Amino acid sequence: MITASHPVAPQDLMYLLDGELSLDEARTVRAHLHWCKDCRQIAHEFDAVAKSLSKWVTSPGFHASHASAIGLPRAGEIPNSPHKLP
Amino acid sequence: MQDNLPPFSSYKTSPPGAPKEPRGRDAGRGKGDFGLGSDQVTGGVDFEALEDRISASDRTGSDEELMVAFAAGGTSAFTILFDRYRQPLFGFFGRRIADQERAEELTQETFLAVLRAAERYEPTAKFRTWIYAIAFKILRAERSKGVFRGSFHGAKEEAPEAATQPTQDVEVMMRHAVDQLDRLDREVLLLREFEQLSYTEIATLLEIPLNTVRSRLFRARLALQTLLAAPHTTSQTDSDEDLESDPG
Repeated sequence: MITASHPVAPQDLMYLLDGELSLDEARTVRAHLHWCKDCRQIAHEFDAVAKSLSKWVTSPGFHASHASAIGLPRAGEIPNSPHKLP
Repeated sequence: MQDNLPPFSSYKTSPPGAPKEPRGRDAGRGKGDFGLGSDQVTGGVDFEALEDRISASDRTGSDEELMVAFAAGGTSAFTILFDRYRQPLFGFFGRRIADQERAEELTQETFLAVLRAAERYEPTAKFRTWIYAIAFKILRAERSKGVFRGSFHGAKEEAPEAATQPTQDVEVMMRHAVDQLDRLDREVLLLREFEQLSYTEIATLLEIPLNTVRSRLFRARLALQTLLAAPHTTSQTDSDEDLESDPG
């Protein structure tokens, strides 16, 4: 909750972590994080969610052979088939 | 579906070296030169020099430079783009549909769409945003065919086999948790976390207000935090509602 003594909302912490704040806004939120333990905890939790998601690696099933399958035609000489290439 | 690919110029961000003024898409364009007939128009991109750099295994060219080079006939530039984006694009589809073979096909289809769209390419926005817009369009088309529902939200019937490796455990757990998010919340979250698009780019891609991106992302992260703390709960998904019909 934003109050006069607590000018930062949890959303602001998320915007900071996402790099979506202006320099001035980021400076304000960072300064607040220095002394606000609660906000540091919230920021830590946002970060933990991101780290958990980063472990979700999709199966490396896309084979290099597809690169040669594409055959790299010149722009404007692309076959119309929506899927498999010759 | 590729006939209606988003024009590169529909995005606002300009890469370094991009022309300052918007141009008519086909104005003055000849085959091979991509309508980029002068340094003024091309933003000073020297195609031969760029191709030399690439050939000399200097693979540090920006995505936008590489795409311009490819559009001008430099096929090695596309090879580099392919190497850069094949895994991220596969991840894009692989996290959204359970059928990984189909995800590979859609990845390949996206590259084909890029090839077809190359002649219309204009370096007025980030290539990354552009290619994900193409991928998203292909995903939407897939949804409209009804395949999407069966492969992602139908995961209960097509659940992956019991995981035998830690990475598969994580994938199953994450897919299960993310599947329980509201569909639009999920899409915003995935675009931010994995495709690393900015809020503005997400808003443009999903055609929703910027504030909706903010609120949905915040909600998604809170929900996911709870779901990950108590994994494998019963699905509460809103399931079969199309993203396009979600009011945001």
